[in-house]
Amino acid sequence: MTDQPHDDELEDELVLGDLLNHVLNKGVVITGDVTISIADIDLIRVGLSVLLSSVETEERKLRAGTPGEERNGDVSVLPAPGEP
Amino acid sequence: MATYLYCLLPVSHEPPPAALHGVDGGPVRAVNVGAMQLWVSDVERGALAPSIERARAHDQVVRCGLERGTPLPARFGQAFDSDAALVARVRSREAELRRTMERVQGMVEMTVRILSTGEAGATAAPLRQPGMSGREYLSRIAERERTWGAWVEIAERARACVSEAVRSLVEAEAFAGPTRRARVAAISHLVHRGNIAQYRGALSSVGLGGAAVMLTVSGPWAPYSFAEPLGV
Repeated sequence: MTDQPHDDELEDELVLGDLLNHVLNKGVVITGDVTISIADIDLIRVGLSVLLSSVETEERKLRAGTPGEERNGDVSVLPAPGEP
Repeated sequence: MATYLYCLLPVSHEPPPAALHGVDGGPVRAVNVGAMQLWVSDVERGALAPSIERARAHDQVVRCGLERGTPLPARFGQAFDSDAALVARVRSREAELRRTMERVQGMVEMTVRILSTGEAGATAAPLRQPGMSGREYLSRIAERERTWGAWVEIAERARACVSEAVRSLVEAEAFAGPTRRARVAAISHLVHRGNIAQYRGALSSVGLGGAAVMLTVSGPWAPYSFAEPLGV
């Protein structure tokens, strides 16, 4: 297995997590009674938990497969949602 | 049917394309209010349960607005009894909404996430387990507080490093610190469209002093984090 599919998957999950966080958690509120309760919405927790588990998986893979490789302080530049 | 709101744009911008469809497939249209156009579509009356598909559809419409200018994005889930009901609500806040819209024109939001890659951000072990002594239980509580405190400190340090690196390129910053439930912190920046490449370049050289964190940057987004009027 190559690293590429895994990296793409991780990126997709991170972008989805960001999308959910923006759309469900932010933006102007015109009406006083938004349909969903934002503070504790399950969907956000799901998105973030996907994101966190992806990072943990990535870390395990790095520890197991590439000793000495340092990821601390990495900056990953993700594509914008909708970009190929 | 109800009127579902996606975003607000200056009326001088192009209206939504005819082929644009939003939440649940409804065609998107513009409703004008003074100097603003509101992008809306019709949805069934009743609670609009959030789903990934609907969230994506909402963002696709806002993203289309972002291609025409800088929309003031609306939060997901706002449906009104009719166009007239929406217009009445917007009119009651027209001046402040217009000011906020003017403030973000020409800009986009970039989001940096701070993710722990060390034990400080690790999910804590369950506090209680069968057969556990009182001493062990208290020890776990202390350990959980220690790792939580360490993670908050790391996230704040990372935020300071990021802020410093992009200071000259951002108009405004919003920080969502980590919570105990989701140990991810986020920094949102309002950036001029012309500075996006420079902004990404500045982030790629951020030094975190060996902190066990990973940064990810996503965008450009419509200015979701800067859509509420200042001071609210």
